[in-house]
Amino acid sequence: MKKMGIIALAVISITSCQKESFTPTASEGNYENGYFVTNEGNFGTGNGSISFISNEGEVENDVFSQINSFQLGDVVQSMSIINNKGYIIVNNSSKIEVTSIDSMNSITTIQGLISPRYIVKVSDEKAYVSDWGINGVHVIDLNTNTIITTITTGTGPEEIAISNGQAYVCNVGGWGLDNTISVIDIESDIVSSTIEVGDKPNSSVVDVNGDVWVLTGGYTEYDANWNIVSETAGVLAKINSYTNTIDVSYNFEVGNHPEDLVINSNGDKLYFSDGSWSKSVYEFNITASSLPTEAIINRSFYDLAYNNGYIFGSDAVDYVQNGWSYQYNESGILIDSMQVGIIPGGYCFN
Amino acid sequence: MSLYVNFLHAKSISDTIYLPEVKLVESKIKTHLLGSYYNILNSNIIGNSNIGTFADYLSSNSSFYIKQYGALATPTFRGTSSSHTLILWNGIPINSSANGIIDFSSISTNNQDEIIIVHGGNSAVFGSGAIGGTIHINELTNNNIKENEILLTREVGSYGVKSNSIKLKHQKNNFSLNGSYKNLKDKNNFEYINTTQNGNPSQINDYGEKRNQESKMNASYKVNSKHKVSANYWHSNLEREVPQNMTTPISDAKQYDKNTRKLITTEHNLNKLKIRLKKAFLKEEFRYTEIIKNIDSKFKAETKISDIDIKFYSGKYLLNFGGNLNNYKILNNNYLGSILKEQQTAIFSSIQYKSKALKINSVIRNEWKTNYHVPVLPSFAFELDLISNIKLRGKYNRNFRAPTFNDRFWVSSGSLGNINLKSEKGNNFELGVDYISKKFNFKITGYSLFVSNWILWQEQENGIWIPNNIKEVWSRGLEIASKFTYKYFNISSNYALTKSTSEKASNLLDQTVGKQLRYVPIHKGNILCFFTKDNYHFFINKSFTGEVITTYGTENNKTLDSFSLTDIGFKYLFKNMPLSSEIKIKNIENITYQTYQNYPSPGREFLITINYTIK
Repeated sequence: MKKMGIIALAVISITSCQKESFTPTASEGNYENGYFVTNEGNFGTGNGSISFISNEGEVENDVFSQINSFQLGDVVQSMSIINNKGYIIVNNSSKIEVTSIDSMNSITTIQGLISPRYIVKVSDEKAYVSDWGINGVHVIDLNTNTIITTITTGTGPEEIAISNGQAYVCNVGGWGLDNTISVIDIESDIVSSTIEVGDKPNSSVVDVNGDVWVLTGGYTEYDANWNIVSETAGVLAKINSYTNTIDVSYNFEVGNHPEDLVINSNGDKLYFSDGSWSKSVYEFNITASSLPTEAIINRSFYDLAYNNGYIFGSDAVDYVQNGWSYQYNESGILIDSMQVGIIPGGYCFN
Repeated sequence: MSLYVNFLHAKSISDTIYLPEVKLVESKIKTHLLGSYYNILNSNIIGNSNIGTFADYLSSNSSFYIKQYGALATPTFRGTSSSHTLILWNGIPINSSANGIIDFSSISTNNQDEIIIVHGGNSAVFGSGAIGGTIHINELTNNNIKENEILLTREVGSYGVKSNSIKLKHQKNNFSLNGSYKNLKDKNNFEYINTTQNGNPSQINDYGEKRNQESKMNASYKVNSKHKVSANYWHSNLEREVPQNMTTPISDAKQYDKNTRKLITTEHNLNKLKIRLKKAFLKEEFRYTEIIKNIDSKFKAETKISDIDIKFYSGKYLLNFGGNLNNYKILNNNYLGSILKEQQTAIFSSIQYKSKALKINSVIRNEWKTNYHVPVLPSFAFELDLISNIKLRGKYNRNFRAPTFNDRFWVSSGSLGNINLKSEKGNNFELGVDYISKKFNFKITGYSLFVSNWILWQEQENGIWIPNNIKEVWSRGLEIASKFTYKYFNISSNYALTKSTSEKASNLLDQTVGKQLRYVPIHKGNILCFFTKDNYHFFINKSFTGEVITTYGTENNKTLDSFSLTDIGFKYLFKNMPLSSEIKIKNIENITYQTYQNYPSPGREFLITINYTIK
C-alpha cells in the first residue's frame, strides 16, 4: 500500500505511547524492554505483522501471530501503546487489535472502522482514531474499547498531535486532496477550527513549547503527456496552539515531497525526509530561521522515527521480501541494522 | 438420439487422437504446433456444464498454477507471470489490451468447440504475450453433416449456483450455423474456517456473487470447394462482487466485464496456394468500483485486427507468410487525457520441411509498434522419428511481451506508468521425446526459459509506484504425460516439475536471487481415470499441487501448504428419452486449501446437470 504518512514518533512518545504507572514483574513481560516495528505486509494479502526488537538488538518477527492463534491482518498501519495495552491499527482489515503489552496476548478487537490510520490517546478515558473511510475520527472509550462517537474532519485524516487540550488532525487528502488541519476540542469532541497549511499535510509533532509543527508534502498534477500542469511546494509550518494560527512557515523547493516529521526527546529538534527523487534525512532546530541544506543521513527511508537519542529508518527493499530497520545516532552514524517484516512502515516505542 | 450419442463419442475420440480438420486452410496453430508439447482439453470432464471455467479445469488438469483471489483467477504457466500466457480465439489474441492479462475465471470451458493448450512460447507466430505458453479456443464449423439440434441444459449446484443454456445447431449442405446463450448466477456462498480471526470462527463467503450472460454465434458458408466464408460472434457480460481476503470483513468492491468479439474469416484453397483473411473487432468494457474508497476505475478498449495468412505447398516444403495490422483504441479514466491510439504491424515468414522421418519448421517475425521497440523473433522447431513409435522433438524460440497500456500510461495517486519501458524478452529452449502407440502414449519434455526485462511495479524512493524492466527469471523444468487405454478405461496423467528462480537482484538488499519465485509450485500433477461404457461414463481425477512460497523469510519462507483434491463425475444418457444427466462432485474429501494467501477456497461441491436434446 502506498504510504500516505507515518507515525509521528514524538506525538506518540509524548502522548499515546507513554507508559503510565507500570511496574513490570518478573513473571510477565517479554515485550517491555524494546520497541516494535509494524510491517504493513502486501496490500490485499493479509500478511501484515509486528516485529519486536529488544534493547539488546534481538529481533523477534511475527510476534502477534505467534502468540495468538490468528494472523494480524491486512496492512498493519501503525501501533500505539495506551494504558499498557498495544493498539495495533490494521488498515485494510478495518480493525484495531488490542493486546496486553507484556505478553502480546489479544485482549479484544475493535471493529466498526473502515480505513483506520492512527490512534492517539487524548485523555485517560478517550482515544482518537483517524479513518479515511469516514473522513473523520472515531472516539474510542478506553475502558470498554468501543467506539463512542465520530467527528467529521477534512479529507483523509492522518496523524494526530495533541497540545493544549486540542487534537490537531492532518488531513492528508486520503483518496482525494486536502490542505488543512482540523483542530478538535478534546473536552467537547467538536472541531473548533480548520487551519489551511498547504497541500497534503502528512505528519505533525508538538515541541517543547506546545507549538504544533506540521509537514506537508505538496501536490503535483500532470497532463496527458506527463508534463507537470501545476505543482505546489511542501511546507513546514508552526501552529501556535493558543491562537491556532500559523506563526511561521518554510517552503521547500517545488518538486520535493517532504515527509515523516519526527521530534527528539527534548522537543527542540525536528527530523524529516526530503528530496525530489531519492530523499535524505534533515535536522531542524525549532529556533532556526531557515530550512537546513545539509542532510544528516543521505538515504531514503520508508519510515522515519526518533527515540531516546536515536534515529530509526526503515527500508522496504522490493516490497515483497522482508524489509530492514536501521538505527543511527543523532549525528547520523549507523549503529545497527536488523531484518524485520514485509514493508516496515511504522515504529512504536515503549 | 443415437446421433447424439455418436456425436459425444466422436468428440471423445477426437480428444484422444487428433483434431478433426474441417477448415479449407489449416489453422495457424495447427501449422505451427510442430515440435511443441501440447494438450487438448478433455471435453468429457466438462460435459455440458456451463459452470466450469478455465480456472477450474486448468487447476486440476494441467501444469498451470491458478491463483484464485477475490473474484479473479490468474495463471502461472512454466513459472512465468500471469501476463505471459496468451489466449487466442480462432487465432485472434484476446488478452486485455489494458493489462495483458486474461481472467481465467471469466472464460467458461464449455461452449468452446476446441481448446488446445500449447506449452512454451510462440511469439514468432502469435506475437506479444506468448512467453510461457498459448491457449487456443477454436470454433469448428462442419459443413459435411446434415444436422439440426437444440440442446437445453439446466444445472444447479452447491453454494447457490444455477445456470441455464440453450444451444442451437443447424447444418445443411454448405451452410452451418450454431449459436448459444447461457446465463449463470453463482452466489458462491461457501463456508470456510477463518484462520485470521480470533478463535478461528467458521464464516460464510457472503460477498462473492457472480452473474454472467454469454451468447455465441458461429456461421460458415462453403461457397464451393475453393472458398469458404465464416463469421463468429462472442459476447459476454460478467458482473461480480469482489470479496477481500479473509482478514478483511468488509468489501463493497464490484467488477464488471463486458466483452464483445467479432470475427470474419474467408478461406481460399487454390491448390498449392492457400490463403486466409481475417478481420476481427474486439471490444472490452471494464469497470471496478469501491465506493467507500472513492475508487471507480474503468476503461473501454477497441481493437481492430486485420490478418492475412498465405501458405504455399510445394512437395515436402511449405512456405507460410503472414501479417497483421492491429489498431488499438483505449479510453481509461486512469490514463490522463483523451483516447489513446496505437498501431502495430507484424509480418512473419516460415519455411517448413516435412519428410517421413523429419519435420522442420523455422519462423521469423518482425513487428513494429508505436512507441517502442520489438525484438526480431526467430523460432526453430523439429520433429524426428527415431524408431517406430518414438519421436524426438524440440524447439528454440525468442518470445516477448510488449508493455501494456497500463504499464505505460497509468496515473493515480501514488502510481505512474512508465513510457520508457522496454519489451520483456523470453528465450525458450525445449526438447522432448514422445512414445505413441495405440494403447499407450508417453511424452516427456524438458525446457529452459530465460525471461529478461521482466516488468515489475515497485515503489520508488519518492513514494510513487512505477514499473521498470527489473527482473530476470530463469524457469526450467520437466513435463511428463502419459495416457493408457484399455477396454473401457482411459487413464491419463500429467506431471510438471518447475524450477523458476529470480536471477538478478532488484537492489542491494534483495536476498531472493536463486530462490523459487513466489506462487510457483515445484510439483504439480494429476491422474485422471475415465471409464466409458454404452450409455454412461464415469471419471475420477486426483490432482496434486505442491507447496508455494508466499513470503521469503530470513530463515524459513512462509508457504501455502500443498494440497491434493479429488473430483468425480458421472454421466448417463437415457436410452429412450432425449435426456442426459451429469453429476459431479468436486473436492470430494472437503479439503481446505488456499491458492493465494488468505483467500479461502470452497469445500466439497455438488453439481447436477440435465440436458435435453431436440432433433
